[in-house]
Amino acid sequence: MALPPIMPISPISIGSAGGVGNAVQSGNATASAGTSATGGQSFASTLADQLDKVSAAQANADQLALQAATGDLQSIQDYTIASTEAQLMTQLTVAIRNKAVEAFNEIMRMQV
Amino acid sequence: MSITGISDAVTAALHQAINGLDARQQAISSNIANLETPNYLAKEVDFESSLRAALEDGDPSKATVSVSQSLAATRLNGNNVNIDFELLASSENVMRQKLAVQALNAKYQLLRTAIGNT
Amino acid sequence: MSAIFGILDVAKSGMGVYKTWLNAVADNIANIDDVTDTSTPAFQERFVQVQAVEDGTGFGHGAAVVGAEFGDPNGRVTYDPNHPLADANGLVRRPDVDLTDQMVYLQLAQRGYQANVQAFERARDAYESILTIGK
Repeated sequence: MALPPIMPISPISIGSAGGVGNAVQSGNATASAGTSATGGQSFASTLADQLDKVSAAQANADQLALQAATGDLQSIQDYTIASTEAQLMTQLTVAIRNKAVEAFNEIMRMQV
Repeated sequence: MSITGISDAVTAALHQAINGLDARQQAISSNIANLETPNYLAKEVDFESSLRAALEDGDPSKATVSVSQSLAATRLNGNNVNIDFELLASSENVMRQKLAVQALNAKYQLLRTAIGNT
Repeated sequence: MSAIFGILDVAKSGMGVYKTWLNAVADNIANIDDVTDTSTPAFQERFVQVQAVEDGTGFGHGAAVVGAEFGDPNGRVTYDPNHPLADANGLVRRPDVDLTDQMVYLQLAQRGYQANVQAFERARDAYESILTIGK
């Protein structure tokens, strides 16, 4: 029974290396392999990285939102892009978590 | 700080900004209504300095809005309202208002994403 | 009267003030050639008295016409013996109204009216934007 694949997405990055797409792909590979090792990182630590990245993206958007509030924002697009990226990363993280829960439940159902 | 469990420093700051911009819009409109009123001095609103200070102290909800009179030169009838300045300020103020509203909505949208996919 | 969308009221008050002024100036211009005999007062120039309106906030609540003033009833006494209304000395009264001044006032009043219309539209845009919070 194959696990439902997570579609690879081209990396969204806010400057940090790796990007979300890579995290998704490696997470997918290790999940179907059953355990870690061959994919490199375990899914749990990939997810932890992902949460850090989302946290950073949200903090960045927050920082720019505060600049917008005090009128110190130098360029509007800095804010709107950061805000959109934070939104997308959050949605993606939530989707990953949901898939992980789904996958876990399927595995549990597999036990004889 | 937050009354509900939902707002944080950023939403509070954006709320203060929207209040401040609203006050400024009122002052600008008042200035435009009084373009030729004798001895009328243009009103200027400042909330940014108070908001910056409140953010540094960690509590943006303490920000206040202040109003002062313009020190620009007066014309013969004692009035110092500059129509071009006020009209430009009016447009710019609406843009800033829309930006603040958009930022606030983005915050709420993030929360919705997290809540909706629990 | 809208307390909740108060800035619309501010702009409306501005429009009202300039409309009134516009009418007064138009009146002055219409009567500028109004000749009267020396026993009758001349047409008096209309002036509009305007004051700023304040509310409790200090951010201003627009402007209002608080009264009218009228110019000199003596007008300008001019020598015009051939005029049907001329008195024994050939004098008539003309209004003490300067056309150049009135044209300047006309432009100021029109510009003021249009500026307040713009202020109204901007305020409406700002309120509409605020109404989208949470949508």
